[in-house]
Amino acid sequence: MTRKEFLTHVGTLGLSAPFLSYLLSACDDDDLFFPEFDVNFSGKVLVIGAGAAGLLAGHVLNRYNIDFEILEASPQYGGRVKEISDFADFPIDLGAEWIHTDPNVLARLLNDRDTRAEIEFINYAPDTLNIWKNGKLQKRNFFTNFYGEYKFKNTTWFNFFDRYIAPPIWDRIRYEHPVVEIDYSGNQVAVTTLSGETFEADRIILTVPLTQLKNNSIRFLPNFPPEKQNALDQVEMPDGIKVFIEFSERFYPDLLFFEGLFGILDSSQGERIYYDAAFRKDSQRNILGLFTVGDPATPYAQITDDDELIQFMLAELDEIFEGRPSQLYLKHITQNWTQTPYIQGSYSHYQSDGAKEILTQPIENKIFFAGEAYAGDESTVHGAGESAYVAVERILRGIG
Amino acid sequence: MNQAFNFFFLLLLFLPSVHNAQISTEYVTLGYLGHYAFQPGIQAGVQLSLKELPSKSPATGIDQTLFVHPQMARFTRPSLSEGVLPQVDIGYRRKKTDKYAYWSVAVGLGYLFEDTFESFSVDLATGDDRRRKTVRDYAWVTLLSVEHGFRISDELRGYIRVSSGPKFYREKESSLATFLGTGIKFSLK
Repeated sequence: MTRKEFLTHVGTLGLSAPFLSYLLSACDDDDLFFPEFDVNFSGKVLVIGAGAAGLLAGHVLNRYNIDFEILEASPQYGGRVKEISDFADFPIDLGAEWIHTDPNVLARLLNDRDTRAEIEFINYAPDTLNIWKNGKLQKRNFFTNFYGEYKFKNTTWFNFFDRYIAPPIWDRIRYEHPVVEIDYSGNQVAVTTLSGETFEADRIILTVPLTQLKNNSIRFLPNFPPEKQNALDQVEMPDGIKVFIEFSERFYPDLLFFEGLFGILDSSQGERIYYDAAFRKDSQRNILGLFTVGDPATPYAQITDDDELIQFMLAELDEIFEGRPSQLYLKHITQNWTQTPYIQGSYSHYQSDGAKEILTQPIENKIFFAGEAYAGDESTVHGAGESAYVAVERILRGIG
Repeated sequence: MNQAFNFFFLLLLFLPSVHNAQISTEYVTLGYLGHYAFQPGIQAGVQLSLKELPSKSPATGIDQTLFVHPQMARFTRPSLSEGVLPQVDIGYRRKKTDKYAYWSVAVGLGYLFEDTFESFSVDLATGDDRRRKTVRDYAWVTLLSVEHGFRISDELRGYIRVSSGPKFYREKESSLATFLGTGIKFSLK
């Protein structure tokens, strides 16, 4: 069983991957880098979306000197890869944060053996793990023996893209160009943005979040194929939110789970953790993070008023930590992905195995798909990047 | 890890102080030791018989032995940590005189030397790991062990052992250690 198959089978919506990463890290590195291939394409490619997959698609297209543009709906690139650098004494990932595989995957994504740089990573194996259940805070530190994955130490996922992937293609990105229509009825594909501007290309790489397809933000001419529409109905992109709170003193464990050990292992309905965001970051600050997706995220994500949200969270934390959080609170920052325009959710969660395969298939050799939802390692940044490589290779080799 | 070995030899030096006329070396032990079964390691030791206990009724044919078992273990959590654990078990073994299989229970005390790989760098050109940053912590470990042994040959015994107990770290919060061990014992009699 390959690493990808392994992850696909165990599912990655939740924290199942962390418990397995130490096994995955044992995979050999023979196929670390993407091989070069012969190009059998000379047209123009439009990449829709400048998240992880869109940027990686641009990165590869640029390497092969292909004519391309990237249309991004928001005023900045990154998508669900986002950071804030001035909240604490270390940059914080407001979106994707953990690395669910061997961090050498970054070398794989960059795929450039001439790069002269190193990135420092943390072995994210917490020392203290507590569970809040039935009104009691319980120490379950032994469970840290089953928990191991990785995080950036002094940088972020966003910084990786900002520093190594995006610079050569900055001038190819058109910001605030939300796509509302894709007409693939002709030889060329015509893409229309909200402002009415039309772009034409020979191939499209569509990297927008699944929510944008599920809520019909983009009109397809001809219609989105029925089998793909059915597959779309079998995948969800549930609520997701992250909040970081600074306290004047530390009172919390490295990791706080809810609903017992079975709640940790079974993340099929989503997950909710509080965690020490400064863990092994050489930080002098006390930063507690909330990461929640799926059903547990909904009570937080549906609160649109930020003051109301932090009061809700402090009340919850006060109950767990005997009133100290409210006394020690300094400030917070919220990233509500459910409420974020053009994102509107966390990441994909498939209800059936076959749906992803159907959704990943190109439409008439004109529209190709890339992103975390189409990746072997779904719901991950590196998976999104790898899916971009696959999509670009299919276009350039003419194997749609 | 030199401190761990020093600690182990101090334990060995301590043993003569509990020496009595009945003490004798029974086995040299060697086996796999898995922290939570899957964090692989090895463990070696010398099992010494402290005292043969008389049967309450000779007719029952039960051999009972008190033993002491100093051991040294090394185990790793791949890419995350390494531990060296010198420990001494004191236990009770019971077997039927006409059988080779036995059961034993033991309580043990050890001192864990644990190196944790906190961070590392990856070369973006090659994907190679470089410059690992390691921190060391120490922990007293108390273990309760249950062991089942069986005969392989006249000189060899096999064993399966489960041990569990708290780890009291110097720097970190306490945690639970659980080991699964299996291996062979070379008879020195």
